Amino acid sequence: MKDNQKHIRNFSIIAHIDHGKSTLADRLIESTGAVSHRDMKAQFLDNMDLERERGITIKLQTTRLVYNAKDGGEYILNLIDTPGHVDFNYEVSRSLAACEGAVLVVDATQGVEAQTLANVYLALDENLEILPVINKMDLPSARPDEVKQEIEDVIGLDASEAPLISAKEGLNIVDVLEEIVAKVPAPDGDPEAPLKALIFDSYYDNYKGVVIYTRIFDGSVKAGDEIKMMNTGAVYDVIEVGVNAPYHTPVSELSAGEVGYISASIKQVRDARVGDTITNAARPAKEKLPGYRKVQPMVYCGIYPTPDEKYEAVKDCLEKLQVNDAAFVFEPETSQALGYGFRCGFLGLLHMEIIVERLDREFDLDIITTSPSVIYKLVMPDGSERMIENPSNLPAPTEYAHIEEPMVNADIMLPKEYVGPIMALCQDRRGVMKKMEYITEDRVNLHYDMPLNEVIYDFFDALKSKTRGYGSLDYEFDRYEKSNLVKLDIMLNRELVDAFSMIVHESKAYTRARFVCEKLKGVIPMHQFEVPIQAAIGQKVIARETVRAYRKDVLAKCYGGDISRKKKLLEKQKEGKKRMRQFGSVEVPQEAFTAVLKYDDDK
Amino acid sequence: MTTNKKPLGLYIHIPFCARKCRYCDFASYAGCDEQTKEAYVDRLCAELREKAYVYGREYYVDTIFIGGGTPTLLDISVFERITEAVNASFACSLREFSVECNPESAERNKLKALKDIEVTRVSVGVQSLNDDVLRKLGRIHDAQRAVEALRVAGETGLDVNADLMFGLPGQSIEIWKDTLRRTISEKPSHISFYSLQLEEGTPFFDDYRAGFLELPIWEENRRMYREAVAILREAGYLRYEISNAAIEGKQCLHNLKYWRMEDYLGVGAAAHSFVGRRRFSNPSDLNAYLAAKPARREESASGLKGDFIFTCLRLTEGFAESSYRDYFGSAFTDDFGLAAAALKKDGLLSVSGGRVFLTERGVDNTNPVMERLLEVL
Repeated sequence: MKDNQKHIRNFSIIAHIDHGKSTLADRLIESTGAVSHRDMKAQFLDNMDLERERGITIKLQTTRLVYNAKDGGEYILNLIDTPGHVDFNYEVSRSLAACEGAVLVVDATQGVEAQTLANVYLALDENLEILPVINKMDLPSARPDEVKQEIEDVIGLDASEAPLISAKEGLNIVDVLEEIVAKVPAPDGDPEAPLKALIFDSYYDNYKGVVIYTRIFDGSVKAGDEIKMMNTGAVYDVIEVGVNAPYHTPVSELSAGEVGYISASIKQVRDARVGDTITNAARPAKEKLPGYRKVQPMVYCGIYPTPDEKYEAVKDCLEKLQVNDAAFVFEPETSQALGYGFRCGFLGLLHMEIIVERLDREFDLDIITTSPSVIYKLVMPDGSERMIENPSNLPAPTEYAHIEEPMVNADIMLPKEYVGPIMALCQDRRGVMKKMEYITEDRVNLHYDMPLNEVIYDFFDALKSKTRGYGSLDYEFDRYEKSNLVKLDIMLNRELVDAFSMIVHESKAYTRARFVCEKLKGVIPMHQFEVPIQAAIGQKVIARETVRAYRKDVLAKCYGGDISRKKKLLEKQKEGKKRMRQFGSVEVPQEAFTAVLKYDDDK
Repeated sequence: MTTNKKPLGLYIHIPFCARKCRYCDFASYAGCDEQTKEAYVDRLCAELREKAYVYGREYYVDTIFIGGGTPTLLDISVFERITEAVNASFACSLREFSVECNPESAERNKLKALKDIEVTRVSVGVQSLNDDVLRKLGRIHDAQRAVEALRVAGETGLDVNADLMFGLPGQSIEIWKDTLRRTISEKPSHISFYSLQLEEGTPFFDDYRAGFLELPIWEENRRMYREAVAILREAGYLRYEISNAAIEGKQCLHNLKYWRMEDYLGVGAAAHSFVGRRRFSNPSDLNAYLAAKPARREESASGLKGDFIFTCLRLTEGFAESSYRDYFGSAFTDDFGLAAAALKKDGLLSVSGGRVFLTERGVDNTNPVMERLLEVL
């Protein structure tokens, strides 16, 4: 091991959502002086506003900390933050692959949760040294001894030396730093060997192009080198290498064991995919690093410009987002109802919500999003397979042999008093329980086999509300399975609106049909004529509602000289029409598309 | 003292009612205590002084309209206070002074007292002379009471307007014609006949949407309108605005200002003003008004030209192309040429003899016509 490597520690922080990961990261940065207290916004690493608002980390960030340890040595601690949501598991796993150790933050009041476990397993997969830390000791309800016991029982980690901290109050933060120095192994790797570096994150910078975050495993890289992506084969000239301390600080070179950034005039993040191996084009490594995979979207939905929004503008923005998000895919599609738009693929529902919200917030676009859908597999009579990403593309049942849907393994952790309602919920969502484990006397881990299309609607919200926020969920794709699925079509004023089409299990078609019709009845404004809303499977109408007619061709009265209000209504009709989407002669407000997604539990 | 000054219509809003009707979305509050009413009148009088400070030098008041709500809920002493405040603030040379009243609070003594303070005209909220219909509307009076109010008002020597509504739940053509005839036989000088409008946020709107409320269908509603125009014409009432008819010479001078782009000033909660080609309105929330929150300038997308179209076309006589030109310095046909021509071709708008007005079919389709014209701007 080279001398300089001895003083490097590469680590991540992993935790269940809300257990205080970002706050701890803030404290570590602050206590090592990387960012002055004055510049410290809460949760420094969550640098998208959206992340700060939601209290979750979506894009991971990396920071280099310099710490003078009690042993007298000066250590470089590379903190590689990870996103905290199931949708981003792959990104998490690549970040972990760049480390030798992981700080496992567990909430002293909540104990081990579904994602705690999921993250621990990811870390163990990468052979990381895991350092448990008990957080939120400032809360009166903290129960550190029980939580330590949970960690030992459930995860099988020795938690006896786990620092008891409060990231919020800054309590015992030094203990965490000392643990990292003492227990996380220093990196090894041969600085003289051909370059082998892992891309664990990348983002688009307006000036530098794509900036790659990388962990150097072997060899070194400096400005002027020609590098090659071993999986995509693309070759680039390195413009700059540097470290995040915590802002970009150029260095002369990055060598084995180090973590830093590379910019090389790369145009799109998809050309620098997370998980790919960087090598030197002139002197390539023999093997690439393991674990690369192209992330596959799990959830699709249509994104369409409103009539007033330009198709090109939406396309531009989607491209900009894609430049920064390799997991997000889109391609043009046409809807009879909505015109030209895009079919977009996401890692999960949260990922989808984030993208849609960013389109609205950062780019101020007026868009309509259609119901999210998973990818169904059609098996044709000749045995060939077709993937269906858009429900309206599902052909008539006579044209295919059968249809398969994606199934997931879902782990739900919850206090035992909620087991009843959650089992009912899962059963309602076509879940099959495989196993029920008592983690402790009071906490249960339910293992379910569930169709993904039941999870993507609002399962998470329902779980949270039925467990008063104590339930947690983790899921991963398992397999495709043959299923009795039908296409539910919605007709407004007898015209099919393809954007509302959805694929549902036959057993739930009636409930869903009634629900959608009722929801639409509530949001579609009264027209000059009656608007029938029908839900149909094939030719068969299975639910119907009607929006009453109301003609308002005459303005009878303008009261007390109030010209403006009524006149504005007429002007607004013009304005309003922009926000409405015209289907045949029926105007549908944008909210209709989201209204049909929200599944009320009391229904 | 009115020489060199311009005439101004003064609207005074009294936002109190004994009970809110089920179709009403005007600024009115039921169940307010005396203290609130007193505070309101205090604020109203203060506002009159404030407004006079701004407009008093340039304008004199020639029409007053006290509307609501139910102004006659207020004690006569309050009317005296208000008129005193008006006289103390503005130069007045009144051609008309109207007060709205609910049949329930239109007692003989009160009407007499109103006449004593120079009120010239009362507008009685009859709405219907069918008790079933009145109940469905949520009115607090019955038909008998409404007829008496019309009679007593006439006997007091006031000009009387009867406010009627059609297109109501449970109202057949026959019931409507009966209401019209019985109203006419009380000889008011002015009759307003409004089609019920469902306004969002009212119980009627929600009930209708949910299917709990039945209304005459559109064609029936229009038949009621045409029957009304014919019956009224027969009885000597000429329709001079979409929903207003009067004996010759008895048109409401104050309301005409609204339709002729003339100056009017509104005081009180939710009151609207149009003075010196500027529109503004007071806060409609009672507490905001009491807290003397300032009036808000009202800008609309289609501007004054839109206003002109929107208001003047409501009049049966429409407007003269020359007055449009005088007002804007441009020709109506230049500003609205294509749209107007298309509407003319569709038989909705008449442009002839230098005048522009809605045809009978145009009146049935006021909103689409206005929309198409406003779209041009």
